[in-house]
Amino acid sequence: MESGPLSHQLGFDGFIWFIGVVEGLDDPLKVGRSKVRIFGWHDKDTDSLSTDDLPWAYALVPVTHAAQLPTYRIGDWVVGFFLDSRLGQQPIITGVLPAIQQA
Amino acid sequence: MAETPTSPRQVKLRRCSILSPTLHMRAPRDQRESIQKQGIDISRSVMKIDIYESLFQNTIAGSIEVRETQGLAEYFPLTGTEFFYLEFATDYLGEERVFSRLFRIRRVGDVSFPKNEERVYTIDLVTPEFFESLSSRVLKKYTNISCVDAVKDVMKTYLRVPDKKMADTNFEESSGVLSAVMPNYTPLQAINFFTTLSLTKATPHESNFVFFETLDGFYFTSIRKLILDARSIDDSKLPTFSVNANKLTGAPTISERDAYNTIIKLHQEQTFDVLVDTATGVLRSKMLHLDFFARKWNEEDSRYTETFKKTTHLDTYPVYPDNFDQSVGRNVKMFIVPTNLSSANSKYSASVGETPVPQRLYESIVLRNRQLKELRHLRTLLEVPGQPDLRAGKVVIINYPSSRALQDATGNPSMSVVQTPTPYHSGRHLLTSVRHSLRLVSLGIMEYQMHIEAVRDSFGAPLIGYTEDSQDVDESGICV
Repeated sequence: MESGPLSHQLGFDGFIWFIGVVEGLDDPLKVGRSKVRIFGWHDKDTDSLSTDDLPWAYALVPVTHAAQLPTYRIGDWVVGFFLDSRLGQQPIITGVLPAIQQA
Repeated sequence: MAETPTSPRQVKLRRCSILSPTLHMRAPRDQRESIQKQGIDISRSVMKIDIYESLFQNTIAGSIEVRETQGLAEYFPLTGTEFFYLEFATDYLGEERVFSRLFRIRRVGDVSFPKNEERVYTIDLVTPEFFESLSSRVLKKYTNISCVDAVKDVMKTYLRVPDKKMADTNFEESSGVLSAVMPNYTPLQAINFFTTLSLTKATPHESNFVFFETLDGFYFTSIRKLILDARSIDDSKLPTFSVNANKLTGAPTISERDAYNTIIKLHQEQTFDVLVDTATGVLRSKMLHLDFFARKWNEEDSRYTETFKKTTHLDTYPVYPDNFDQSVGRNVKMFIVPTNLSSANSKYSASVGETPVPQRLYESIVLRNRQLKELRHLRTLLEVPGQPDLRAGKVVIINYPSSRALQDATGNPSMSVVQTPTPYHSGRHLLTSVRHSLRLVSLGIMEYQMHIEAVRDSFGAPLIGYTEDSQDVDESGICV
């Protein structure tokens, strides 16, 4: 979190985007949320910050298929932003980064 | 040998030493142990010591001005791994008060060479906790925890603050619980996160918690509590500074207490600015909190006049007339924050076993914005003799002479100036920052002065109010 006061007006406190790894898909609400470990924001050590402790990340869905739930998998790398800016408590996933097969 | 008592404004420098982790390795064998434990005393070289504490700074900071011929900066050398131990004593109203503090050396300032081998430079100091905060990160989830407990955990676990600097009485209980993942914050950023969200346990809630340090230790408290604690103290027992130089300098002798309460220099800053207060939402603002998951939103209008009646202030009357805020449009300052208030309490969530803690950021933001800003309406900068009990967060009385004949019922314009305290500006003030300034006057004796900033958020006399609803402005900015 950078210093300086937040304006607390959605959209005015900067667009803080992130890259993270999907670690959990077991969403009890069945609305496509996932547990995402965000690089640089969440500890990579799962002992100090377990998958369960990660905040739920909501997925944006295409406007043409708003009823469709996301189909990403555990291990996918995703890009998103924080709805609450630097507070970093409400991640929203905007898309999945493509990857190539590793030997 | 008995020590000579100090006079007002004077302190004895008991210890002023630099502790270097490796210096003893280069010292003569017979001095190694003492240098390792006691460090090297530099009190003979210290010209000036400044220590700064503020309600709006998490830790105290300081600087020392050194004049020496040994080349200490190269001898150690000073590289930022050293500590500085300061201990001074002062006699205050018949008792000796001793203060000690360990600092971390942050950097050595520019060096000047006034003559021969003599060099003058400044050493900047921070507290070990501040350094610890910059050197570590909080990566942890706090679940269903109150803000005060989370702050205490960060202090103990990450800043390693000793218990003696965390007196229970300095930590105020906060309302409710929250859950949050600390996303790679420094410990002080994590503490500020919780401070921002804190609400007082007492209702109606207030949201003016601050986390700060004085020479006495750390505080996590609301400004409400600072004001209320002082209300139980009689006016006669509070430090009282009267802006009336003739009264003091004209007397052949003055009491010790009066000597301490002398004003050396005063500067009154009229920080009251209606344009700033309008634009920043002090007068009126709107909070819109959205729960996108539940497709619900709520909006709440907030007015200075109403908030003033429900919150704690230093004095009785608001700095704006009643209902003056109705001339400001509701949408001039808008806060929009996400929340999960409705979705967290949905029956569906409960039926699948998910019961998240409601995010109540919206409860604190509007109040906090107003309460912290209204504190700055009248700011006075004073230079006074050093008093051991004056600390950031304490309440003092400042009396200003009235510059006009307020009580003249006859309305006689030729009446001389009334020398009674002005009812508007005189009265209780909150100290928001204190700079302890010790300056060398003779060997081992330093003059102790304080530069204090005192603020006031209310008046001691009423202003003539506006008629309610007569000037309310609707959302389009048109008076209705």
